[in-house]
Amino acid sequence: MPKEVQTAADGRVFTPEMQADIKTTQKYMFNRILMLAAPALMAWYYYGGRALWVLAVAALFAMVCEYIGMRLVGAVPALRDLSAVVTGVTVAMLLPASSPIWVVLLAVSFAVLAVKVPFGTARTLLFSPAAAGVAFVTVSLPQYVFAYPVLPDGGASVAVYGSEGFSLGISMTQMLKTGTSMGSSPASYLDVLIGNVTGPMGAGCGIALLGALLFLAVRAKKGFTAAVSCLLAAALYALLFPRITTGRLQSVFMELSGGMLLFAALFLLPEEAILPKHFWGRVAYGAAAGLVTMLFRRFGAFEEGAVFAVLLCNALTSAFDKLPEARFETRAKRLARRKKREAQELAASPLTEQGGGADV
Amino acid sequence: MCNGGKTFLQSVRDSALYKNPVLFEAVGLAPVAAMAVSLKSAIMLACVSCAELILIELFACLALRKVKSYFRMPIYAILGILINIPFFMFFEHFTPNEANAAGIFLPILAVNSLVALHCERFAVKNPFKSTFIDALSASAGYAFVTLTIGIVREILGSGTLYSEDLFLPVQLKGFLMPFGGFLLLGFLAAAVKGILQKKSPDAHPEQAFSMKEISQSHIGSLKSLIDTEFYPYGEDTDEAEKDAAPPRVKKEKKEKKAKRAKSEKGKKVRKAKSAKASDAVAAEAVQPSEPASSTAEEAAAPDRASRIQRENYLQDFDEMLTELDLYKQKQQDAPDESGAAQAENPSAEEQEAQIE
Repeated sequence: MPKEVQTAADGRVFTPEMQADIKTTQKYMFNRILMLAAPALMAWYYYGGRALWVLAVAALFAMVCEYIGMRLVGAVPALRDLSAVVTGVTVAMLLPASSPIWVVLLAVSFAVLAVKVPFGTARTLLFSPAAAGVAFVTVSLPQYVFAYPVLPDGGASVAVYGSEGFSLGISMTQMLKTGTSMGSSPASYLDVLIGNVTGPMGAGCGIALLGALLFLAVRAKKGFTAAVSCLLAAALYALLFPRITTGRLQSVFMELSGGMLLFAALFLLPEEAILPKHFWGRVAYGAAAGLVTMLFRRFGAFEEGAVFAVLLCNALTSAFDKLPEARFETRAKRLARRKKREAQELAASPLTEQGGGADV
Repeated sequence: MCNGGKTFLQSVRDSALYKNPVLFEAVGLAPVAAMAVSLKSAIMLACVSCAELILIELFACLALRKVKSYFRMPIYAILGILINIPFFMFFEHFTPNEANAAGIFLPILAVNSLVALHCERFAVKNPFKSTFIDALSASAGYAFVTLTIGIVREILGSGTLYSEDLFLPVQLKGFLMPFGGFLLLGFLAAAVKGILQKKSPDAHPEQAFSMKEISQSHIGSLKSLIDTEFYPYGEDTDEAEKDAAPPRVKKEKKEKKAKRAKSEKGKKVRKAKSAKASDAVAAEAVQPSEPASSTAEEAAAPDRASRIQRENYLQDFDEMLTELDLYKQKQQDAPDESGAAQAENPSAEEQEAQIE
């Protein structure tokens, strides 16, 4: 065994490079957990103990899945980097609080086993695991994913979907899909900002999410760039092509505050391992995600398409990274460049040409 | 791929598992991912693909060896269509629902890349028996993957098996979509690779599609020719024996002759001189082992003249192997021909020094 490798108490082996990676990821994931704290707190406030139960089970199950998955592929599980916890909590926050626990576990297991583990660690991701997990259950079980409950009264715990006390609510995205406005009274705007609306468990409270945006601005500027460009692109689309008839500004407000868009911009897009490296690449990446989300919302089969937009942009990260270096030339310049290159090759070719008898 | 030393079962196992066309060669993925959503559709897909692969490969082996490769491709497509049409009509008559559900993917099997790849890579370069084994084992591998994926996707996605309800509490429609098919293919490939590596750690399934196999196969066959009792320069060599050489070797000899004509005359003179010098040295070096070789060669070539001819033949083959390597190098470094030409001389001299 090399000298620089330190053995942990249970026999696991981490090289110094791996330890440094784990520490860096731990710091980043700790920031993410801090950002998730406020929305989680509001979820507990509105949906009761069930919200915390779902979050805790999701986090634990994600760690179990990561441990099993890493062992299956013969890798060393590094649970202390907290990436599994963040994945589990993020998945749970995007689902209704009334989802049956097996739906949450299915989404978490897909996120970790199918998307996170095959690509190595949290430092080598190609796609956002949380987005993939939610996308999978959205496609497979849409009746559970979009069954948002009416907020229970008096801090009671929300009932499970399909059980006796469950009553189906109407989310903002569903209203937008049907062209229904939320009303122009200030109370309704306040309700939306404080999260007193039907929707995904962690994506309802606008103020908590704006706090997370501020946190991102201070602690993770690269992610902040992508998030802001996503929201700006979505806002611009909502302004230009409103789905409601009561005003463009209200359309912008509803589109940004409803559904998973704001949450996805803050927690799914700014995955450090997937973000483009250049500034303009990140701007393009975020803008594309926002635009595609709006297109999915307008033309897609489901009322929400943020997770699909995130996955699509994850796949195009390298293209966004190359954008700043791309040369958008006119045809004439391109032809001139080609002629110059050919002339250089012709000038160089007689020295290297292998002549037969006829060429001498 | 299929050597004389391997048994039938070993050859079938090699192709079906270690060189599985879907899992490791990554061909024919689209029909599996898009069409194999149930056991019935998987059976349809497997039947059509296997029939096409076997029939077209055998036809290519028998009749298309001497046809140019750019003519062979349209012939594969036409044959695929001719085989596909009766199957399509059969399935449309007896299983209309599944045939409609298959959509464009059933007719598009007529131009399956699996067929073209196996025909070009194997059928036109190998004898009938080996081609039959290759076609059979590739079909078996393809059918295995298709049926497995179809069964899993039907159970998980529809909650049925062969249209019989299994009364499962949950149906995950995502697995009926192409992304579910690709995911399952990926996991199946990983699982099969893991099992194969545990059983035989020396095998490398992911190299099944290595292009080295095609280029190395030429050298392999040349080397095997060296080991056989073969006297192309002997007085008793008949035209029939010359024609019995595999077409690949003849083609390569023609290519080498064309290359020799193009290269400088000085190289030939230098090579002839060095060959003569090495003859004299090799004759002296071989003398101590004469008793051992003579006992083996007694029956076939008792006289000294034929022994010298064999040595010359061996040296010629060494040169041909060297030129093949250099040709491969040139193909890789296409602009830099002079560098490769300069490399030829030292390597030939090195070889001669080794013989000395």
